[in-house]
Amino acid sequence: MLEPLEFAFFQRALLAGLLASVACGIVGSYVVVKRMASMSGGISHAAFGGVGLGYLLGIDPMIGATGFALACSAGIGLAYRRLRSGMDTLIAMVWAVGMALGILFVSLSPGYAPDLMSYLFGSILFVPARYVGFAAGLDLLIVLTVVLLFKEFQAVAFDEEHAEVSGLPVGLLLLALLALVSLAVVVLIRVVGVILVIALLTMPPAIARHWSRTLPQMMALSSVLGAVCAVAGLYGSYWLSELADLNVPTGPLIILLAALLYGASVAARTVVGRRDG
Amino acid sequence: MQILWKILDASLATFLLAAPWILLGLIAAGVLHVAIARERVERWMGGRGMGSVVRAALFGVPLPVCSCGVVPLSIALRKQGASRPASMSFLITTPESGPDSILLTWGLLGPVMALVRPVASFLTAVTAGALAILFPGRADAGVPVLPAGACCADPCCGADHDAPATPTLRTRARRAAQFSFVTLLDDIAFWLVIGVLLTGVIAATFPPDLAVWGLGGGLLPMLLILVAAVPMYICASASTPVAAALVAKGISPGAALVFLLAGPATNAASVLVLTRNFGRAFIRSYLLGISIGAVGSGLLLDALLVRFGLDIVSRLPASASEELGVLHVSTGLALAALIGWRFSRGALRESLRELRDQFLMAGTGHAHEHASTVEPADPGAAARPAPADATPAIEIHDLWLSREGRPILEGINLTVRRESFLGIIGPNGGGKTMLLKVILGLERADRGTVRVLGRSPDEAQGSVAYVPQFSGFDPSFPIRVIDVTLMGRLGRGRLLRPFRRADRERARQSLERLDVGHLAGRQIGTLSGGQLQRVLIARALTMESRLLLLDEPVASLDQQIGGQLYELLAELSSSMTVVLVDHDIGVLSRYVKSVACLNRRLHYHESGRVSREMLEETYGHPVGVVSHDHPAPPRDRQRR
Repeated sequence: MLEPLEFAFFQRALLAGLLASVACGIVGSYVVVKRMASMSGGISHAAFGGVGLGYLLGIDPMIGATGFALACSAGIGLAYRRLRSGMDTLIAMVWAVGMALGILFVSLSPGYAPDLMSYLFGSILFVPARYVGFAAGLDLLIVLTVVLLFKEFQAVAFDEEHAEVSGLPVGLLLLALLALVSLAVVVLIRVVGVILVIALLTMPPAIARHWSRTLPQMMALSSVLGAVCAVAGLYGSYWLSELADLNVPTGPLIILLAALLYGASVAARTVVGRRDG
Repeated sequence: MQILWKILDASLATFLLAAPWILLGLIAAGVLHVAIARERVERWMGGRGMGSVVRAALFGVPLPVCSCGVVPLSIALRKQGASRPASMSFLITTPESGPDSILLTWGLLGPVMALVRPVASFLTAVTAGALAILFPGRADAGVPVLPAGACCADPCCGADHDAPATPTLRTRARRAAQFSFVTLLDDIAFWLVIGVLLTGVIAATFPPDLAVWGLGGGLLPMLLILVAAVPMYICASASTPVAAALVAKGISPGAALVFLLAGPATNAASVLVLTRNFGRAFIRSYLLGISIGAVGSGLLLDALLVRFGLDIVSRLPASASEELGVLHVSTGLALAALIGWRFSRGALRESLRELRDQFLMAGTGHAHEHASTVEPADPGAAARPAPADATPAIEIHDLWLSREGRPILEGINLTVRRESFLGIIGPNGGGKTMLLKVILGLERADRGTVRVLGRSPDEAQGSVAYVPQFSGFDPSFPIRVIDVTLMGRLGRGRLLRPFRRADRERARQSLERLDVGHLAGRQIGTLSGGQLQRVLIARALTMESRLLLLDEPVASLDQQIGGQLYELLAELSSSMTVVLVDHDIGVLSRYVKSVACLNRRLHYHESGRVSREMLEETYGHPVGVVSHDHPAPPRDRQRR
C-alpha cells in the first residue's frame, strides 16, 4: 500500500488528485444544483482553445487555458441573462469553436506538441511539480470565494428571481460562479482531461446530493467521494500495471469508478428510501 | 535665468509638437458633439447591472468632456434614470479619454499608447462599476441634488439642443465649430497652458534618468504618481505632454499610464461634490476602482511591452530649435491665436475663478451654491428624500407594456397608500403577475412612471417582499426550511457579512407566525404544497419590509388554511402595505380593504367596493369602455 508512495511522481499524482477532488466537490455542487453541466462542458472544451494558444505563443498552456476558460465563462454569463432560450445553441457553439481553435492553434505552432493527448484525456501520473502549486493556489481561491459569498451563491443557485428581488447583484454573482467553474475546470484538466472534466464535476456531487440535506454537507461529501475515486483510480492503475502488466490510463479509471459509485448510490437509495420523511 | 530659459524652450517645443493634434482633436470633438443626441445617452445609460456599466463606459470613451464638466452631466443623467454603477463608469471614461486626448497621445507617445489609453480607461471604469454593484452601501435617498460647481462644457445638455429639430448641415457645422473653438477650448485652454508649462518644468529640471533612482518601473513609481494624480486637477489633453515628459525621463510607460488615467479622472473638488450627491460607499468604490484599474493597467502594460518586445518612446523634442516643420509652426501659431482670443474674451478669468472656487470647496468641504449652467436646480429636489409615510407605497402613472407585439398592460394608473390592503383580481393572462414584476423591477415597462416607496423599482429592490406564484426552484435542492427563510435577510449591503443571531431569531419568528416553526430543519422538498407556500410567506415576512406583494398565495392551500392566511395578511396590513393578486374574487373581498380589477386595463375604486360593472368590464369585455377608471390626479409626465 505504501510502496508506490516512494515515487515522487506518485506523490505528485496523489496530491493532484486530492486537490482536484476539493475543486470538484465544491464547484461541482453548484454545477449540479444550478444545472450548469452543459455550461461547464462548454467552458472545459473552450479551455482547450487556450491550451492551443499557449503552445502557439510559447507560454504555459495552463495559463492559456485559464484565460480562455475565464473569458468564455464571462461571455456565457453575460449571454445567459439575455437569451435564456438560445443558451443551448450558444453553448454548443462555444464548445465546438473552443476545440476547433485548440486544434488549429496547435497545428500552427512550431514543432510537434507531443503531450496534446494529456490535455484531452488527462495525465495525472505526469503532472509537473509546478502544477501542484498552481492547483493549490486555484483551490485556495475557490474555497475563499465560496466561504465569503456562500449565502449569496446559495440564494442565486436556489431562486434567482427572489435573489434579484432582495436586491442582490445577481448578474455579477452568476459571473463569479461561472468564473469558479472555469477555475475548477483548469484544475481538473491535468487530472482527467478536457473531455472527462464534466464527468468529475457532476458525478461525485450527484451522488452526494442523494445523501445531503444542506449545501455544505453536499460539498463536503462530494469532495470526499471525489478523493476516494481519485485515490482508488491511482492505486488501481498502479497495481494493474504492476501485477497484471495492464497499462490502464488513470483518468478514465477514476471516471468509471465514480460512475460505479453513482449506480450503487441510486440502488442504495431505492432500498433505504427517502430520508427525512 | 538659464533654467527659466530651458523651461520656456521645452514648453514651446511641447506646444508646437502638440498643436496639430490638439486642433484635430478639437474639431473631432465638435463633430461628435453635434452627432450625439441626448436621447441616445439616456437609452444607453438606462437599466441596471453589468450591461449598463459596460455601455456607459463605452459611451464615455469618445465623449469630449473634462473632469469637472462630467460631474453635473452624470448627475443630470442619474436624474433621468441611469443607475449609480452606470453613472460611475461614465464618470470615469468620459474625462479620461476623448478624441482630442487620444489624438494627442498618438502624436506624443505613438499609436500603441493611443490605443492603450482608451482601453485601459474602459477597464478602469468597468472595475469601478463592478465594485459599485457589489458594494452599493446603504440605499440612498433617491434622486441626487444637482451640485454647485457645475463648471464647464456639457455636450449633451447644452442649450443648443433647444434649436429646431432638423438643423441644416450649415447650422450643424456652425454648432460643431462653436463647440470646438469656444465651449471646449474655453474649458481646456488654461489647463493646456499649465500642462505645457509643467512639461517644460519636468523636461528642464528633472534629472535625465529617473530609472537610476529606482523609479524606472514596478509598483513604486506608480503608487507615487497615483497619490499625486488623484487630487490633481488636469484635463486629459493637458495630462498627455506631462506623461510624455515623464516617459522621456525614464519613467516606465505603465507608470505614465497611471498618470494619464488617474490625473484626469479625479480631483479633490469633484470628489467632494460626488460624495455629497452619491454617498460615501459610491466614492469608496470610485476611488478604489480608479486606483486598482490604473495601477493594474500600468502593470499589465509594462508586462505586455516586455513580452512583445515593444517600447514606447516619448516624441517630445528637447528644444524648440529642433526641426519641427512648417505644419507644427503654422498650427502652433493658429492654436496660440485661438487661445489668445478666448483668453481675451474672459476664458482665462473664468478658469481662474473656477480654480479659486474649487480650492475654496476643497478647503471648507462645502460646495457653494450658484446657479448651474446645466439646468436650473429643482428647489424641491433637496427636500424630497421624504418622510417615510408621506409618499404612497406604490404610484403608477400611465403604464404601458407589451411583449412580442402583444399588449399586456394598457394605461395603468394606480396609487396605493401606505398601510393598505389591496386585492387585485382578474382573469388568468390579464397581466396580474406582469404588473407585480414591474413593481418589483423584474420587468421594464414600455412607457409610464412607476414609483415604489418613493423610489424607482430598481432602487426599491431589497425593500419590497415578494411571494411568487410558482417558484422556479428545484424541490430536491439540498437546503433546509430555515436556510430558505433566512434568505429574506439577504440584500444589498449584506455582502460578505455573515448572518447573525438576530437574523436567525427573526427567521424563526416568521416560521412560528405561520405555524411552520417545527419544520425548520426539514429539507425543502419534503414539504407539502401548503407547507411550502407558508414557508415562502415566512421568507417574505423575514425581510421586514414595508411593502409585501403576493401572487395568488392561496391557490395551493385548502380553504381553511387560506382563510387563516387572509386573516394574517389583514393583520399585517396595519403595519405594512399588502398587495395581493388572485384570479377570482372568492373570499378575498371579506378581508381586503380595497379591490382593483385587472384585465389589461385596471378598474379601481378607492371605496374598495367591486361593482357589477367592474366585474363585467374585467371578465366580459377585455377592451371595453372604461367606466370606472379613476386615474391618479394628472401630474407632469416625467419621461418623454
